[in-house]
Amino acid sequence: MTRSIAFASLKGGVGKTTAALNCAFALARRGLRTLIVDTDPQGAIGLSLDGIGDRPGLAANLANDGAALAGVIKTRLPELHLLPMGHVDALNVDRLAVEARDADVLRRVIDFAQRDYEIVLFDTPAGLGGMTRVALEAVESVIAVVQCEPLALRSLPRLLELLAHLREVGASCSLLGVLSTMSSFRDPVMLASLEELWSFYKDQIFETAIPRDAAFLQASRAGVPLGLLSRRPPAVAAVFDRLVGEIEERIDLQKGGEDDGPIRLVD
Amino acid sequence: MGRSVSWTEPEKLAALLASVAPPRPAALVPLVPAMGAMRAAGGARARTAAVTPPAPAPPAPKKVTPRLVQTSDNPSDRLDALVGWTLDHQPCTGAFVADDNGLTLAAHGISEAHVALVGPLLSALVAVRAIPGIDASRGALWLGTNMMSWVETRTERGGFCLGAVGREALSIEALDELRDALDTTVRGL
Repeated sequence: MTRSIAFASLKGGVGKTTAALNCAFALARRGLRTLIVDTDPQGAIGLSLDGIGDRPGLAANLANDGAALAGVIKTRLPELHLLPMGHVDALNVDRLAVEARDADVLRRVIDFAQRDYEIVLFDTPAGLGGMTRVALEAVESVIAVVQCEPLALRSLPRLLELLAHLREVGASCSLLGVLSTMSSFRDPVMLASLEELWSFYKDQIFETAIPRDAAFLQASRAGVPLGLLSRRPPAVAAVFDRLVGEIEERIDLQKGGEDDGPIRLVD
Repeated sequence: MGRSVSWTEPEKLAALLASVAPPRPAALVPLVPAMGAMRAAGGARARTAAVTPPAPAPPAPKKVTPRLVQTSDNPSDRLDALVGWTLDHQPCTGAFVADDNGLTLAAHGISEAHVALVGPLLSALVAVRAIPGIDASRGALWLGTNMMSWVETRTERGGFCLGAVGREALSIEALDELRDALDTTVRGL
């Protein structure tokens, strides 16, 4: 069964897209056939990756009533594909979510992904309405992304309240975990925030915290995942290897399934 | 002490978290099949043959851990004997041996997720080792609900790491014993 995870947060700028993108890359490098879907009308994935530009994706599929996975882009990693949002006219942002819900487009994406992917990651826009809600209604799990600072911590319960409400009305989405980002032990407020996350969310918090590191800015400038920033990626790229190890453990992801086995190196 | 930075009400949050919790995951896969099944018999034999019996009625109250004695020239048997000795004589539920490329050479009683973490961990230690004044040849860290303790040794063929997974970190004395056993095992490989 294809697993589906949304990266969500009420607050913007906490690192949802960075986390989703680098997790997708790390999962694919571990051999899992991975699809990352951009549900942000701003096209955050497209803005983060060089080479995406205004390629059509989810928005065009909705507008044209096209196939759910039309516009999927192959990447340098054979196991990693991505479905960008594509261009969304600013005046149509609100309508996009309504149309997406009416067309049940994200559930269709997950259904069609069953054949070719083991895991689908959804990057969502900031906030709890619009496409975020559509994504939470469709996916199996959500990772709450929290920057290590007070505002982000205070907004986290709002996401949990929405999740609880959606479950009451029939959604199956559950909290896979809380991911702390931009952590630093040098700043006392960040450290206090991290300690509170560990204290209040001790069973939910991922042990891997995404640190504040200049390499993220460099990767953003270059438009690449951390793992492709250079032939010898920065050390911080390894945190996503650890994080996806935790994710796999939490969702009990079985690699390959029954037909899994040795793969010949030489054809 | 001032108000918490998150303004969180613990009771309310606990109820909220309970309402959004996922179903309990299945138990972790307990063993590394590739290492376990085929070598289990040989490893057990090697364990039995390789470990010197404890000294009879030692006068000192302190528990004496028997030193590992390797009797086989076969690398697989030696590694299995090392893992078996670790499980028999250290307070742990799982043990593994890996090379410094992160390749797990022998393991018993640890989850596949832990096996997967060995590579990134050892890679990270390469960078840590370069920091002056830091001894990265031994250590311990929490992994989920377990503590993983490890020692490393260097040989002409590269580095080897012996790790033990259990409820608590191993003591300094225990890490010395692990290092001694690891040195004994990889010497001459």
